[in-house]
Amino acid sequence: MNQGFKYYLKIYLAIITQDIKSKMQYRMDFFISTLGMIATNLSGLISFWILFRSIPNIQGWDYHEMIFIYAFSLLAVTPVQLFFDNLWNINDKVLRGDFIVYCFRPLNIFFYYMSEVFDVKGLSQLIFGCLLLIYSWASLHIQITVVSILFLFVTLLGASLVMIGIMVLACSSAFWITNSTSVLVFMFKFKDYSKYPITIFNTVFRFIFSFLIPIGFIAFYPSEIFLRPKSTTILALASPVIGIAFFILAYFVWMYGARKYSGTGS
Amino acid sequence: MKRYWGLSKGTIMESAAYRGHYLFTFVGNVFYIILVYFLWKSIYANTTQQINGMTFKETFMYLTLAASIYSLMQTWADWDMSRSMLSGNVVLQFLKPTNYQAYKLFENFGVMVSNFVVLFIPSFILIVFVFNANINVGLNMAIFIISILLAYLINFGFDFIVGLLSFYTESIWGISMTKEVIVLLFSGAVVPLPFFPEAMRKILELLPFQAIYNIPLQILTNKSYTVVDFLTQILIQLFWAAILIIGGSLFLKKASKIITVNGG
Repeated sequence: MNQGFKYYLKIYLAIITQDIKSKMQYRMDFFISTLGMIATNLSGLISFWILFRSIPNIQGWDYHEMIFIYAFSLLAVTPVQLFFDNLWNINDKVLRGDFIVYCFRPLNIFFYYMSEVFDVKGLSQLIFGCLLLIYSWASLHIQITVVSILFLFVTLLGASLVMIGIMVLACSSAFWITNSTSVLVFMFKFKDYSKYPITIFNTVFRFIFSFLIPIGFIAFYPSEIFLRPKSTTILALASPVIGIAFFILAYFVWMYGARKYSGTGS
Repeated sequence: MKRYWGLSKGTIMESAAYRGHYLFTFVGNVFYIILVYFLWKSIYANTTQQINGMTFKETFMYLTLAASIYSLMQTWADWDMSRSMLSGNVVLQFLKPTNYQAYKLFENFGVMVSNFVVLFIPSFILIVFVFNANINVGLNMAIFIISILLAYLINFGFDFIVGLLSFYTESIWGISMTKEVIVLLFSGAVVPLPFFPEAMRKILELLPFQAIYNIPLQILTNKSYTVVDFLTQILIQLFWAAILIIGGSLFLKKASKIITVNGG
């Protein structure tokens, strides 16, 4: 188990290559999925555009600032879609007993399980999110400095880890209950809420969306660093740390569940 | 007809096995209602008046009821068709002495009925009583039920065509997602139709999407509707339902020829 990072990287690339090769068989699927992904992202943009024709701002956040938060949330959701798409198959694998395969390899179970699928359609969201972020960044005249770019990468990493953590936790439910896909669908919907300022909620839901289902850290808190640099809260600055902590928590819960998995006996 | 009802009954019983799924879907709906409430409350915070002729209460009611109708329409007909096409089970359905389209229609009707009882009614009660929405009780309720059934037919029409498309593409996620996004946005379920730019709204009113969400909602909540309005709206829905169902059955004739099942 003590092989280093390089060893795992080599294995990861080997697995991913196989996955992509098999997906090349279904080129049509790639194009259509890309279409679906772009349609989904565009619809979010169009609804903001329509909404802001009638109103000047939402609690002081104007159109371009909302677009910034939206773009940030799209980018933060991309890694979970690209690298962790196999979590959607967990219910089937656990119930049919196929999951036992992952327990018999001299590899980290979590790594081996998640590495199996690389979801190419997430790439279109990555491009869409980048373009949207650049557009809003330019419209808002935020300064481009080495520090701000560095901050962008660190906060995006933290935000992605929060999203990955949420979905990995939801995925772990498969080891205890039989309809974990409902849990995944339920939790995945919250990503759509992350594009709104958490401040619209009252205290109770602000607490829930900051600490219990931490979607505030997917886009709103980290975006504050760029949009409201003078009044940045401690929560905004803490977001990368929270991302790492939350991911570690999710990882250990998942591993605990995976270790007690005993197969179906078949 | 009896054998078709049997199909609906079967799926109703099948749905009963997925209690956990319904629980999560319902709690998800509740969270969505909460989001809509706070989001639009802060949108309306700038003004005490109406925006585009709608008050906060009207907008809230419109969007949350639209979400409840959405959960009603989630019968996964297109996903089902794609899955049975890929596994080859679709031949079994073609072999039955039934019309494939009617088979799917009634099978999914059972899912819709379960959704109505388990998801729509509780959400409706929550919206009306907890958030104190005022809805007329009278003729509009009866017509609303008819309108919902027609909306189901139209929605099924779309699902069926998308399902058939998947026979060609051999994948469903992308086309189903695109369909869903277009239907939700263009029907006013995400942002109410009165908020759309004039020209866009005029076009959308001529399209079938608004017949799924907007028409039933107007029938339920619009207090200025007369009997003539009710009839016109129902006729519009009937028109679209007929077009889509006939279109679907014509498409079926073509699409059924390309199915290939590899032995087994």
